[in-house]
Amino acid sequence: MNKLFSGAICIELALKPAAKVYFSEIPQLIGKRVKHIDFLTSGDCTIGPEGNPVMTYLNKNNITATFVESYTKKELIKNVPLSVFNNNSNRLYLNKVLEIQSSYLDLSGVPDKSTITNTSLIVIFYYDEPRVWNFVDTHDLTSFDNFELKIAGRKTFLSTQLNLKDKKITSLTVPFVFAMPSGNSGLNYTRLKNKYITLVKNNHEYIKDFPVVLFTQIYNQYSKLRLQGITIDFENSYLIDVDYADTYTIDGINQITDIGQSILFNAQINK
Amino acid sequence: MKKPAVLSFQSKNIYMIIQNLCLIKAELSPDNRRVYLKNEILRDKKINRIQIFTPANNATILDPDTNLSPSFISSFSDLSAYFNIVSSTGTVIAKDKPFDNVLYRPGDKTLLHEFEINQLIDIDQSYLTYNGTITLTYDFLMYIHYQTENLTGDNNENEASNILSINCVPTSKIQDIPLRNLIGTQLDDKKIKIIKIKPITNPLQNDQIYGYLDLNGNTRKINNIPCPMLQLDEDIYFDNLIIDMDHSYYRSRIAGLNLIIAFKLIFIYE
Repeated sequence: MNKLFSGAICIELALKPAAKVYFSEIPQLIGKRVKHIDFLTSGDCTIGPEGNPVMTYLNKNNITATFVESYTKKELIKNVPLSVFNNNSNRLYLNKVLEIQSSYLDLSGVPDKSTITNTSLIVIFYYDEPRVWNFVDTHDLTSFDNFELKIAGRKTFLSTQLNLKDKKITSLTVPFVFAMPSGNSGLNYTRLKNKYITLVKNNHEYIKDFPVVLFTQIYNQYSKLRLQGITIDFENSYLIDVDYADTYTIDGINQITDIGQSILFNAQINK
Repeated sequence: MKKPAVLSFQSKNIYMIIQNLCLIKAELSPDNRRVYLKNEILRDKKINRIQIFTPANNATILDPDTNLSPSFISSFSDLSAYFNIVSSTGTVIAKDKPFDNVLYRPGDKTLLHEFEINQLIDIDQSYLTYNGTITLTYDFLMYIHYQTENLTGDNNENEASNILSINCVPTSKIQDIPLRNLIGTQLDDKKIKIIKIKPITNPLQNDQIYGYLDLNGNTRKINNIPCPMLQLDEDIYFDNLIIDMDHSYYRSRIAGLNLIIAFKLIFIYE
């Protein structure tokens, strides 16, 4: 079972046809204990949060990752294929404070370097964030509520949710529904792929640019993420829709965009 | 007295413990927007969780009672269905909880362990509704897990005590086979902890067994649990289940052109 987490940061790692690509320092992760790492490819999202195309999933087994542990300065996670970090939602439990800027990907095993040129890899670090976590007792009663986000453009802030104010959330899931409880239309599943949500508490972006598609559980593709009793300042949290301007049809006739359509987030709350 | 030898059974993390299971047939249509959880069996009972069972994108398994095929999964997004569950004290347990996260279909690799309730609910005020625009009737099987007494709490172990494996070969696509005919007296008065199902023919393929186990016990009732749910890698535990073999059945309900597949019924018991 995946571990509880209270922080997550998603970065776009630009790839190049070199043997090694190093990570840049991530200030939010300094001194933080990393629990899991996800590497997302074009099978999950086609455009990263910064707007760059994502590397093909075909290369996932050809690339390895090496991470340096911060206190020992040793490569304690060494030459691990990307697919091992998250195998059908069974995530490798790392439990390490990492020195990100000394860590790297080895691309020497990629047979066709043109498939990584001008692409990015989406990397998500799940970690413990003491500033926002809460104690979660699995014996506590739970309840379920939801909030709807209606897309207004590239960046859409969440609206006030009095029903969820200061409530400890232990999971968020995004269902595949065409009609919201409000009656508004919901996004088609394929349109969820390039949406990234940032959740804020006390001005701290503790879940940053997180792919919304990871909250879906359609066809058992992604297992439930376990949140450590997080609370959300809804008015300061927002969604980035990198392809909001794309036009498409869902009925074969009318051209529409994401604008005006909604995403439903279903929250499990610890009482 | 010397403790019996313990046989370990390879299994992954425990997902759920079932004490009782109530099957409610749910039907949503243009004329019927709500299905209440109003089954008297559930009144004043602690509800553990709710699951929806539906065939995959083609006719595979039939309803255990009507022998008709429940509606297919692919059309449920149009339905946009939601649960609204109220506790017996009037507090809202679930408000507009989408039901697609509690669906299980034959062939799914895991159960979406999504809708844990573990409270008394008001069955007259709790319901399933939909917001989509539909012209057809959608029917599916809704399983309500409930308790009639406290869980015994000693099932949370990965080690098994004893294992019995029985071959089952239905002779007809629609058939009710009393478990007494399959098992005899071997499991009389034995506490069943886990039940697993494995196809015999071509075990490397993911052959689904399209049938149900209808189990009646000492103080337990497992109402037509779908066999595909017992084919998962994860263990599903039963809470102190002593099966009345004379009143329990394997119900074969194979739809369409699907073949009859022989399988092993595997009981892990104390």
